[in-house]
Amino acid sequence: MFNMTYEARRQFGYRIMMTPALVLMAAFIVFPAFYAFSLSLTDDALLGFAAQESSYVGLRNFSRLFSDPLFWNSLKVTLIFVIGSAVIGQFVLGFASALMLQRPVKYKSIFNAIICLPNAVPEMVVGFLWISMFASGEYGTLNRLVAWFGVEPQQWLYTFPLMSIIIVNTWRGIAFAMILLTSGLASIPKDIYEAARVDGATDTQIFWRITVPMMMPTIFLYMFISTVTTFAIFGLVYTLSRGGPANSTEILGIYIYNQSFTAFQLGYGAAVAVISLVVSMVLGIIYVKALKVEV
Amino acid sequence: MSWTKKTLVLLPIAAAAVVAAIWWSGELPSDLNPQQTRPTLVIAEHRTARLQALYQLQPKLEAELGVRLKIVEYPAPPQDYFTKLVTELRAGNAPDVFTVPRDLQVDDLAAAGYLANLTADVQAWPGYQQLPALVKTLTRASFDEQVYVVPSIVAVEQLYYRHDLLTAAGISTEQPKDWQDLLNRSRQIKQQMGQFPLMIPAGLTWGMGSYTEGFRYLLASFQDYQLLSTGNQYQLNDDAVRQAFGFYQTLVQEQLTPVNPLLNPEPWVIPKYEMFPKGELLITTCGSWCKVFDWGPGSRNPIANVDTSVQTWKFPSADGGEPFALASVVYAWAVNAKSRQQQLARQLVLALGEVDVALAYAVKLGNVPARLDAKEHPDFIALDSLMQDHALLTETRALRTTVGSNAMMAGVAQASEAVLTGRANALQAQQQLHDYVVNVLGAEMVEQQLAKTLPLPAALATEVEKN
Repeated sequence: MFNMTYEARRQFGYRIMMTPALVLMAAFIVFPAFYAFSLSLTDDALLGFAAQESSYVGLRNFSRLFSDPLFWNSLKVTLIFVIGSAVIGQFVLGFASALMLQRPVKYKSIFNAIICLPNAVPEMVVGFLWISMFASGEYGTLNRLVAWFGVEPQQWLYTFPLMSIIIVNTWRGIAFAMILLTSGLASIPKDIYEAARVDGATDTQIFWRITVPMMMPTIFLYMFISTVTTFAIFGLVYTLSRGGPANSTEILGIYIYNQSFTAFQLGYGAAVAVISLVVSMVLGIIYVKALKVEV
Repeated sequence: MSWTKKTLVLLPIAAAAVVAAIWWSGELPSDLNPQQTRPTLVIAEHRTARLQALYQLQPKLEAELGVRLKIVEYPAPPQDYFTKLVTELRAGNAPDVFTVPRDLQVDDLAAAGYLANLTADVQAWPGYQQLPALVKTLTRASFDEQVYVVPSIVAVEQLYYRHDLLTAAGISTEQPKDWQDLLNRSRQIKQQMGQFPLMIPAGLTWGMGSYTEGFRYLLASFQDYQLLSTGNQYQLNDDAVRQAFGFYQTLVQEQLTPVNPLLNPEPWVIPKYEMFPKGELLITTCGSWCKVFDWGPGSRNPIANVDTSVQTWKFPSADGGEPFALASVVYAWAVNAKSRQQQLARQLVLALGEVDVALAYAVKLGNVPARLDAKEHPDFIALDSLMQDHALLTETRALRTTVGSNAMMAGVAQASEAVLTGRANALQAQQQLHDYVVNVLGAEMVEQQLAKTLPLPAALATEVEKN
């Protein structure tokens, strides 16, 4: 070590400092992923004889998965949920909030706090809070609101189940979008805007020709993070609907839970988790490519 | 070393010493407490009523057995309780003693090696002779005929109907003779009263209840049908299964049952707790607990004079047999196979099988004691409606299940939901159930030979055969 060059010693020092993080990642991310894959090749279960002694079944869980209409339904529901809440809902409203708060607004910090509050609430609490909002019957909060307009009480979580969970997740995620996009907006040099105004550009032109293109890396970064995290959501939807009615809100996280801890089929549940991981990775790679970031 | 450095070193050491001293001194008195020197048994319990009963019994049980009972409160919903219990059993950190919610879960838990074999203890226990034959059968695992649980209470399940409202509408309240009679009565209710007549649980969100509180009644309606073959395989190709789905199909097609509430996250809330008390639903399957929990004076939507307003019919047969009530051994006590206090835990579960314990639970839960000698207990004689249900114990029916019952029930939930939502007719639902169970458990667990095909009852024929 004493014969090392300065550069080599510096690299060695970095590696030493990275070791704790790498060990933790290996223990809590890489190992479970490999373990899930190995589990997906077995008939392991929490109940029955397989719980005592599971056997290797090859790709049987995967072939069952691909012929399972409930899995395809779950994948479809997940994609709609991710696009509806993360890609459209949170992004549009988060971007709008970020733009709005860029301007000199009175009581800006209060607006900031209001928008950030939902993100500070644990997702299970958000779930119960919205159950009360969506409650059927005349005493549900939303039903009381729509009653002012003469609308009959609705069973929101039954009549509009997927839309309901999209709205809740959008509400919860606006803050994160706003914070990230605000930092992106702040990084655009002010003199570009000033030059554009001197050249006579309108607000709309400035937005589409300067703000949006300059924000693209931040937007893609946001899309990447929000897509992957929304893909993994469980508690919020489980609290609100448990995947029902009629599987209409059964996102992948709930499907995995139901297979593993309601039907107690660990092997099959792990197979779904592996597919979920693959889908997330594919989406991640697409975003990373779009960001033109080398990983 | 400077004073500052010395302080920086000594301060955390001193703080750690103080914390250790406080912790140790906190432990010391309890170590000397005679209560603490007794062996401790950890017992899992859930739901407020059951917890109240156990806390009430705790001093007596502790004194009797010379143990300290540590009661751990588990989540109330049966599915959440069972999931937590099973994951803990798998992890090896489950309590010494716990309950198995339904008899048909015994096989799966025993096959997984989670339950201690109690055969010798139970057969030597005087209480065993007081159990009805059906209850004895339901406490054994089908794959080895060994006893793994000690029964305490039994749910007697039948059809519950609004006697007050049917009488007021001039509709017969006679016991329906068979399915056709029940369906005709339902059609009359719909026509005359404009309300949903009949609800039999079904669908995914009702979970295992779709089988235990719904489909099971329909299968048991066939005198000659057994869910298990003599080779311990599920007989899902039998025509009784198709006809059972056909019954659901008729209810859905003729709008005799409220479908939408059954698709809700908590499907029992609207039909049982709201529609039935309001008279918007007239007949439902339920158990002896319903008059206490669902519509009793302490429930959320009590029905006035529930004992007379709500009365019971036995479930009618499909093939001309006698109407029947179903029995389920619920919350039977089991010992963790990995418990370090095996002997004490076994003594505890036998003590929990005694009549006075069963009565403490029965009163709070509305179930009946499993033992026949309970009828002589003065406290029980006072509970008239439960006494009536208890009297049915020797004539009740049940369908035996084997390993994989959880998968079979999940299959029923899925297939019945397909019927509810109109995605499958009876035959398709039967196929779906069969395929699901074969997929999960393997073909060897399902009887593949096609059993006899029965003609559909006339009441179903019109609607079901069109599809």
